[in-house]
Amino acid sequence: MAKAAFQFHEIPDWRQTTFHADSHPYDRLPLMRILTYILKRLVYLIPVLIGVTLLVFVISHAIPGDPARMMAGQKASREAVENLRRSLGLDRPLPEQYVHFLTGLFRGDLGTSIRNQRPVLDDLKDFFPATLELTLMSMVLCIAVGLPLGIISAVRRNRPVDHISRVFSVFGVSMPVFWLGLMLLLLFYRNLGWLPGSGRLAVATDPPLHVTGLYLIDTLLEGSWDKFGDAFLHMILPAFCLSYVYLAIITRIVRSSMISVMGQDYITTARANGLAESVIILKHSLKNSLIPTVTITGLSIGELLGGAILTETIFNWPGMGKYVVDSVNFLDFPAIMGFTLVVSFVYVMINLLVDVLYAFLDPQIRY
Amino acid sequence: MKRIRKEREWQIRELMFTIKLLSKNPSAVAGFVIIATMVFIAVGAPYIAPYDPIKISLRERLSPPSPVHIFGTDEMGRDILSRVMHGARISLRIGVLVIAIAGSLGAAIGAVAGYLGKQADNIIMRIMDVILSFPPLVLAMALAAALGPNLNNAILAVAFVMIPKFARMVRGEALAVKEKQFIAAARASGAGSLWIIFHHIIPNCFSSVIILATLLLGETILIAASLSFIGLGAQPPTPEWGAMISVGRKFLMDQWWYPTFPGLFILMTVIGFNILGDALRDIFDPRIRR
Repeated sequence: MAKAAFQFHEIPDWRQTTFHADSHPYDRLPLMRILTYILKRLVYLIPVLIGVTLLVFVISHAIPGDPARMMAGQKASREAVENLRRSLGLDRPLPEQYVHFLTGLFRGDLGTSIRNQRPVLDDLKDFFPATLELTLMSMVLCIAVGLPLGIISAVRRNRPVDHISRVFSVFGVSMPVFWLGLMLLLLFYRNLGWLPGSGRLAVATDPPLHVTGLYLIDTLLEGSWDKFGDAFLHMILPAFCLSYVYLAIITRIVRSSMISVMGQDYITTARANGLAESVIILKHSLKNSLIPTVTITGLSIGELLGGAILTETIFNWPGMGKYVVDSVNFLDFPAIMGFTLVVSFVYVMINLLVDVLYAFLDPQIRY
Repeated sequence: MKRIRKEREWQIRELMFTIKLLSKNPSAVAGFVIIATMVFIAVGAPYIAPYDPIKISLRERLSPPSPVHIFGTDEMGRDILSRVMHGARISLRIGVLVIAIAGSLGAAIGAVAGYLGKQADNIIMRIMDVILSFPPLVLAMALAAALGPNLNNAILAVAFVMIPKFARMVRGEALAVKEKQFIAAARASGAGSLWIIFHHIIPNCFSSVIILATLLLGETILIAASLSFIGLGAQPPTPEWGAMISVGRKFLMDQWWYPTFPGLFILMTVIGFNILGDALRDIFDPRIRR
């Protein structure tokens, strides 16, 4: 999906906007327009969410393989499997099972993990903060490095800096994340010994008091700088590994949209008026190329959650991604499906947020 | 007849022009060379690989790269170079199969949605939206886990995830194509919807499908390798790159060569498809065509 967004024609262009007398963009109050837009988007969300739950339901219930047999284990007797099937309601007709599944979801019931017999939701809650912290850190890295790199690349187009940054981003979008993680470990942990290789804290350290679950914040609240430093060092490699792909994507999109904006007439006018180059770049060009950047950044947050599966496994990071890979090894279906559902909900919500953000950023977008 | 011949001639000239543009584009050439090398390795693996990829020789286990074993050996003493070469066979086959399945189904779905329009379009595209509301790797993982961990199921899972990408694009193209006059002419001479979709709409979207396929091949290979890495694709004795890295990971600290070389091959292959795809897209995009 991220790939398609590189295409130039997706960048909103005022020339393609047609203005009709009956729906002029200025005929209603801007705030009202945005509110109706948000409302429309929320209504539109309902079928998508129903579809998402339906798909997960189909994957987990209607696919070959027998869920009851899976849950009981390969060695269980036929009778035990039948009993389990009845107690789980798996002998009921599928539509009825789906309704049961949905009502369960509303009560926050994602099923029970086969591996440890705990509710999946509780497990995911425990592992969520670690993933959130890693994802947020990667996001910060993506924006802090990707944005300036894209700008420099566009301004110094076809110069050495641009070539280097383009090579950097081609490698990024082509990189197998799990392999990059291993190579980072090899270099910075084994050969140079600069950075720790696994977990969130050194082995002997007690985790900080649970307040937010984000170690960088919790250690600060506790006031122990040593632990903060330790947590920070542990985060560098996984965060870089996770962010590299999206860093590359953000760099590319910022570069291409900056270049297309900088070819516009009003930039030439600004130059002719003698404005400082820095003002032209930061105020006139960057602002106008932010829209595609926001899309990609939004999409990236969702995909970072997917990428976390691989990164967390490599760096032994105790988050949802590592949890789901461990579940895959146990064929722990409720856990896998619970994770899939939670991640896609987050993904859908972030997309909604991006669309709403659009409405604020670009008054030309029509609803 | 004459008109048809003229049309053919024009098509051939167009093709020659495209090839000329491609050969002038350094990144297209680089991408093409990488892909050609990989295809050569994949096809020739049984003949050019120095050893049998699954032959165990415990005496030579975990030996470092040397003139005898250029990429070293693994924990069973199997030659990593030979395994990596056979891995090219598997990975490229996965990529091509996935894209063939997803491309044909996606194109058909997209063309039907775009041509029929109205309710059919609405329903089909909402279903596609649902598939797109999962991060690709996550959905592929859930599907592959439910179907059971083996290579064929992984291929189906990845193909399923890729379908909406093709469907969306072909639908967009179909919307434009169906307004053309020759469609109206076909309809006037009594052609049915299905006939028009398969004889006019899909052939007219073909070049964009090819470009998208090239772009997505890299991503496909990455997702498939990731699935194998977490244990849901090819299973260990198979010399698949992701599966090799998954096993080789345990030996990273002392036998660096084991996971390193398969990953390097994944990276090269995906780079090849990505830069070739980007170049193709730039060349075919009429707005920036030079």
